[in-house]
Amino acid sequence: MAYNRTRRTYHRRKICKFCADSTLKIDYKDPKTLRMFTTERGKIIPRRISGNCAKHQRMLTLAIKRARIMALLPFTTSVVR
Amino acid sequence: MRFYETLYLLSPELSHDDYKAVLEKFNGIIEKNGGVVIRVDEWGKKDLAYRVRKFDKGFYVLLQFCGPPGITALLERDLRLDDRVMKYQTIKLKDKADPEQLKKEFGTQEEVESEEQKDETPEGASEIAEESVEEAEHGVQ
Repeated sequence: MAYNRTRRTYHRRKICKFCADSTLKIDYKDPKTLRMFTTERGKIIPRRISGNCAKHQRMLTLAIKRARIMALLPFTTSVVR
Repeated sequence: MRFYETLYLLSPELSHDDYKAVLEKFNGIIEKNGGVVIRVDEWGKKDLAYRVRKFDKGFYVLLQFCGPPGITALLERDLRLDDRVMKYQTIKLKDKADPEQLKKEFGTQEEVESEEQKDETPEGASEIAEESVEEAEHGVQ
């Protein structure tokens, strides 16, 4: 029995959002934009999923971590309010 | 002169006078130590992403200033010792900056904002303050 090798091989080309849109700036003071790159639990979405380029992902993680320190973004949402 | 910005978070229980006093105090520290205040952006009372000292809200103040390299140590010491400050973070924006030029970039905005917000913050100003914050952010970018 030949094992099933039909891997679904259609990649959708992922584009770095920050490269595509130069008006979009990475700023730790802007939690609205940063929230697009975190999960509902507050984790940073990895590059392989978001499609960001390495340079912008580096800037993004730094910005998210800075925003977390200033309570603009959550570290996690498991805290019961 | 280096160009820095400090974002600090104040207790939501401050009265209007106390709040103003804190702003004056930190602006004073910069000017006393050979720095120049470029812009003070009051974000107003905002919701926090998590609880800080059992508060769900706090006043955010963004302070942009120029100064010699040692100035942040002096400012942060006072921020740390002040009970009214819950959190603070300083970030260097530029190594070599000309305060006069930066003032020109932000100058007009600073005057308009500080006059607008005098009566609004901190009491009952959340909506109006947030609007002007958004405008200010676009201005920076």
